[in-house]
Amino acid sequence: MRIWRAVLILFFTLLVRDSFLTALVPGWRPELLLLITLLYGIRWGQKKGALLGAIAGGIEDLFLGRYLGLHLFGYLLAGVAAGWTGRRFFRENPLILIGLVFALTLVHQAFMYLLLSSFGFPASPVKLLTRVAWPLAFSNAVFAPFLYQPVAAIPLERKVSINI
Amino acid sequence: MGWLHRHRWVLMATVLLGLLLWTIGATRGPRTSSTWPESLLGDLLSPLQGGIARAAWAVQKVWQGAAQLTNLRAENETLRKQMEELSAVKRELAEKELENQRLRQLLNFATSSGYPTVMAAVTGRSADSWFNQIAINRGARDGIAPNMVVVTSQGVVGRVIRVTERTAAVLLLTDPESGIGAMVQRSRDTGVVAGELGSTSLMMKFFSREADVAPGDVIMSSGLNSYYPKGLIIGEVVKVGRSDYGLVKFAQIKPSVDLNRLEEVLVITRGPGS
Repeated sequence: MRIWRAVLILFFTLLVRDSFLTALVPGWRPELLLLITLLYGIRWGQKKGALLGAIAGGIEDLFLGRYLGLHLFGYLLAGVAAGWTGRRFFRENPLILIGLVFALTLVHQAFMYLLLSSFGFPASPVKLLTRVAWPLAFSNAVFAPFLYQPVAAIPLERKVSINI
Repeated sequence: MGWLHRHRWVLMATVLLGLLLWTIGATRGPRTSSTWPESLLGDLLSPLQGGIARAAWAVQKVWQGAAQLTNLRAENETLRKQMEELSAVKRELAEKELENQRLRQLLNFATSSGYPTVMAAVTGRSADSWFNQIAINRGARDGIAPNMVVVTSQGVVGRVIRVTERTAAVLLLTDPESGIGAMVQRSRDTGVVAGELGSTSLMMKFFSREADVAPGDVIMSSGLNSYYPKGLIIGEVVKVGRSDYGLVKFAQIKPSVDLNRLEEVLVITRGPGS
């Protein structure tokens, strides 16, 4: 049942993002679910990162209603990549965490560009980098140290109790 | 002499008593002047009395103040609460006034445009960096259908792309996948307006290389697109240039509607092409 709690948390996060944060700061596009996926992957590894990414991406796709599966795929891979890099770097260092999130966001956006372009989505790589990827990577990196601990506490698996 | 000596205390007491009674009798009733001992005593003691009196008053005031402090604090708290409540009411009134203005403008537009419309509130906005769409609180049961045009009194917002029973998703003009047939209001030159990735402005590509367009020109829908009726305001030209080796003339357009601050919109329920 713990996975449903994670689903609820992500669902609520998306609601807050789309209905509250975007109204609070007009024009702001905080991709919170991507950031959560990256942080979770960095903390808990590839498998859990991929699972949470798939859930988060699936919810995002349902909300958007276009290119269904795009975010599921993108976030799943982002979770795997975050888990892979997280195990190879000292993740408790805030500076390394910031750097990882920054780089992983750029990689994710590049992947999204390749995927969307292959479906005929009109976007130029220069505009992607200057208007979307770079600002997003920057904002994700800034928020990463503050959200790392809360995100790491998101439950995905049933707690195992051992009675001796 | 022996008798006087023996009764001297009695005699002195009698004389003193007599003097006292006389004095009492002599000084009965109001007097306009005082005797010199009275004056001397009064003059000497007056400053001292004044000082003591002032000290007494001061102590009394402190005492009274201490006694009233509790009441004052309570009163202060009550007044502060009242002030906060009044401020909240004032803010609420200002918000209602703004909402009232927006709704009145929408109503005026709905009446003057002649289109059948449904008013809707914006309930959410896709915060994804790649796509620009909003959610509204009207759906199929309110007569909303895909491809219906969404506007405000300032101009075009976008079109409905997805409908549920109670909600609808609206593709904004600024979405890279949106497209609207448009024309320059002044010169009537036509083209297509589309959104750009990560930008709040629009890009109009003209069909003619010699299109007559200049900054400040108003751009409106041309009606050459099956979704949008003719004559709806899209925005204003801010920059003109050429792209694709100078083959295509384009104009950068600032949307007439602030698409980042939408709160209420009108859905034109006349179906596309009807």
